[in-house]
Amino acid sequence: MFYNEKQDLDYALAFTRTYQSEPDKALREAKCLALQVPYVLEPIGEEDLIVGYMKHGFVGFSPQYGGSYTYYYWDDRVKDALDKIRDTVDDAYIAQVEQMRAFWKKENTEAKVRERFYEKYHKQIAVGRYYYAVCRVAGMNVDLKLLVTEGLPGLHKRIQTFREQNGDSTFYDALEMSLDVIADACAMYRDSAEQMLCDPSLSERRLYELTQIRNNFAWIKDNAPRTFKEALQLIWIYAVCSDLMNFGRLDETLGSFYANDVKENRINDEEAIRWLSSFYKAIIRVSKVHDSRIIIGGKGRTNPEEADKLALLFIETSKRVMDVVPQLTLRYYTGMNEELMNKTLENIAAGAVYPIIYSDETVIPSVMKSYGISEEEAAAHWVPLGCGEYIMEGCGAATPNTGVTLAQALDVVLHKGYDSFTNTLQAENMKDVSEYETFEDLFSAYSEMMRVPCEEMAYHEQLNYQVAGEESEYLMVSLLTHDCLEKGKGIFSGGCRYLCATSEIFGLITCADSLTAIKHCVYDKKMFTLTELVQMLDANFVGYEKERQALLDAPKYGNDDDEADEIAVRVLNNISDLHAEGGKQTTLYRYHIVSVNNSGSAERGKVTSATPCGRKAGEPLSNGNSPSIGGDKNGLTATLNSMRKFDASKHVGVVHNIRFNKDLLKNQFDKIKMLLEIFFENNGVQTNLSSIGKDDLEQAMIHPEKYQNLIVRIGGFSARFVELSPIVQHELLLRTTVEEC
Amino acid sequence: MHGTVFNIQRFSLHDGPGIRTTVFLKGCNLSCAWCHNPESFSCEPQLEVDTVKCTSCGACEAVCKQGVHQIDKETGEHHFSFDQCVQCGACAAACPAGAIQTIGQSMTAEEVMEVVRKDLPYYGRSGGGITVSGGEATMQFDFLCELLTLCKQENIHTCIETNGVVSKERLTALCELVDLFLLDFKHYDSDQHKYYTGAPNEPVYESLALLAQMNKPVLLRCPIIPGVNDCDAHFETIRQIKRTYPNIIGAEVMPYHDIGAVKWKNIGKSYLMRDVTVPTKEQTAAWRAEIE
Repeated sequence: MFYNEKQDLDYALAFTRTYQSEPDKALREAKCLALQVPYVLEPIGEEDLIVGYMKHGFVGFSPQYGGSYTYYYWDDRVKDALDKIRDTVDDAYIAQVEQMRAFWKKENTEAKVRERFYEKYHKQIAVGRYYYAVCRVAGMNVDLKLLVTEGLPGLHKRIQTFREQNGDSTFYDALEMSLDVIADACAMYRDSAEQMLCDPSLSERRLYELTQIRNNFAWIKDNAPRTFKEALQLIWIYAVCSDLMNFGRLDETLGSFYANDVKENRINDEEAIRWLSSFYKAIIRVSKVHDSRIIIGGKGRTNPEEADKLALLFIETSKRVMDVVPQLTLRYYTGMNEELMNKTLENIAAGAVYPIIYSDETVIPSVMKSYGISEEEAAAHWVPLGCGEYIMEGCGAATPNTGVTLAQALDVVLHKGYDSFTNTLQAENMKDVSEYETFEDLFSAYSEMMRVPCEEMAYHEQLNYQVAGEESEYLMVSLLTHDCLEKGKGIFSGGCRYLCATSEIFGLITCADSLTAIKHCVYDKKMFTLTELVQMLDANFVGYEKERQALLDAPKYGNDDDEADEIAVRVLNNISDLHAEGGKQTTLYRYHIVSVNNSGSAERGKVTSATPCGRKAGEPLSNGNSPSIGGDKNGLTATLNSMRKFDASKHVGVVHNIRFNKDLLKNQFDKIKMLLEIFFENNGVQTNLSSIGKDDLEQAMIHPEKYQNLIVRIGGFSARFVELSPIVQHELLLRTTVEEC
Repeated sequence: MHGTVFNIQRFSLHDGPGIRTTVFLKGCNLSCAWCHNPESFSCEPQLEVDTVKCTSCGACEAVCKQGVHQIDKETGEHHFSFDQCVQCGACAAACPAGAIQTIGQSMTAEEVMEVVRKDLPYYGRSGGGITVSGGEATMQFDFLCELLTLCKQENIHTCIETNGVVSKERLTALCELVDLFLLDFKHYDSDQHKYYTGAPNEPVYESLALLAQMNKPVLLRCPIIPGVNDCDAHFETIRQIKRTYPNIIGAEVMPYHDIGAVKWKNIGKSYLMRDVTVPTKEQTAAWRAEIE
């Protein structure tokens, strides 16, 4: 609801008292949730069909709110609020708030992680410019099918069953309490709808809708959902209460509900699209552009035929709503319903950027290998989260909390441990470049330098989960994560099967193309020495145009050139192995890399010096596993072939941006479709497709007012073009558009 | 044996069915005024100067012993005359802007195949394969045959693009190796054909008849140039050819475009079609309807 500063502070104080009064971490969390959820729920919107939205308090419990997590705390907001009302409250109140501030500054979960990291490494966590670490549990995907099949009472029964098997514990008590929190939220919205129904000025249509909303909540509060609408509402109210931002395989979760409704004549396509659109609008309101994934298609669904029917409606809804979220994602497989692929490409041709396509043919075998699991398990559970990192839906976590910018790492190697952009020391004991006599010398130096950051980042990821587990049980998430109830443990306290973590790799191809250019021009052709090359980089190539041309002319990834592609593969494998080794020194199940990227490739490029691939300082870095800007010159088949050369089990996600000329997809629909299918069946992982003309982007920069709805795909997320920073707009403009040949 | 190849274009969508790799061979027996690949006229490798990229630095002038390049000291304009050029490549190597390049590279059929094979997965299902174009693909006849023979051995679908001005013997031999002929039809009037391309159109008719006799599939490709052949008589002739020869699987309009205009300048030739206007989409659609 809408509160003033005093009410917000009162709430924060109440939350703090609740937190302080309960020593048991499970009960403490349940009590905090019971206080938090009713306070933060917002009223039913005028056009809502799917209802529920929550704002966030100054202090609270969330997996990833605002860049912090678990028991998060925002001191600047508390201070602002206090300053605003200082004259209206007494000294005792101010003292209480000040005490609370002092308490949370130390007690918030992120602070505890940072303190623990300091204890071991005697430094701030990953302060290096070319690698970083944050605290959060991002991209959780739980078993929503369990939620809608069992409903709240079924989940109560499940808890009961395991309580009987394992004996009483506060964990089970707290889980029951967290279910009550959801039921109370349902009751609140039921009552609220009922009140709204008393309004005599309601249109007949809204009267009907509000009645449905009221009935949905009244039913799901105490029963398992029966209809598509009830199930969808239950998913959303759970998401609101738990801050869940990724929804996994919703066609599988909801397919049978929809099929039954159709059979019983309770719903038709248009009605379903109307409710899905309302669901989309609820997601859009949360505005998490790096999250909000919905997965459709793919192997391992219980009833593919039913699921596909609903999947087609998701695709249609994405076309009609045409917004930056949800990130609708199609899992392609050989022999799947042809209509899914046709409709997907029709969406792209119409200017939508969804669905994104992933290949089950490539990803399932690679996940089997990288997770060490069976085909059945991989097919049933793998989904891309947030920006595109894989997670085993309902079986664990894979938060991407760390990252490395490889183009900057190489810069550090070439400058004796200094980052040349900021002139700060980033790595000790590095040699002068003149001492690297062979390409292999240089590569080993680069590889060795990266070992320490990978260990530090892995330890941070472990701490991130460990401290979360010490502080809480993540009740809402544990409820729908396999093995937690069975073991009687929270997801981060040893409950889940696969506690993985992910590291985001930026500028991978820029780094690889730079190494190739060094190998080609310095070591193989001996055009100039490495020392001379570094001088050129430091001069940002001014006065070295000819040499820069030679570097640009060196083989580049994305042209099906074996020399360049092999180095790209080597760079990826190397950083993957270093992470895996770092991970082995921790309690993580696996520590993987992902080359997904969001706007980071442009933003980080802005603060990266010139690179040996011929890129000047400040220009964008490569995005995901797409070629460097302007690097792909050999046609789309050549680019796709380069992309197919990686060992897909060495990463848990890559993105490939492919922008078609507007007319190409329309005129050559069948050929493009075939091309993509062949790519997906031959070790191709993923594509972000779009068909936006370069002229549109140019016009949008000149007349933003006319292009408010131009949606673009950036790597791991989508955005309204006109809302992007000029840096990112520029990068998008420079990317290759596939034209007709 | 070696051939002179001036481009290999992968992911070709317009030179025959499916996804194809188009191999452009140097050398042409015609010289069409509207040609967008004028660098293909000569069978030999040759220089091209990209006047947009050129920074007038004078590096080429300094290294060229033949005096091919002159930079105007006042205007910075780059004048060149390739008549004296011996293709030593010194200027291309010296150019810091990458504005000078040698067009045409000597390759063996096997070397070409290495590139063609890279896209094998995409050909099969799409019905694609290789298209040999030019210039005039049949000018390097022996090399063409060797390349196509290799393709046939590897079950790769083959197309060639030809202007039809080719001997009976060669065309007959090619029928063994080519799955689909992309045959140009440029002008219904023989005199006009000669005026604009350098050769009359009778050999084209002979080739059409021969391919019909051999029952080889032909896709007719019709460049339509405003003011040259966008007339009723020409369209009627195309319709008539389609009616006459059952082996013609279709006719495509190749609307005039001026993308090639700059290339004429870059190789030191003057472009004759400067006044021709590029047709609109509607105009092109109307032409397509004409030859339906």
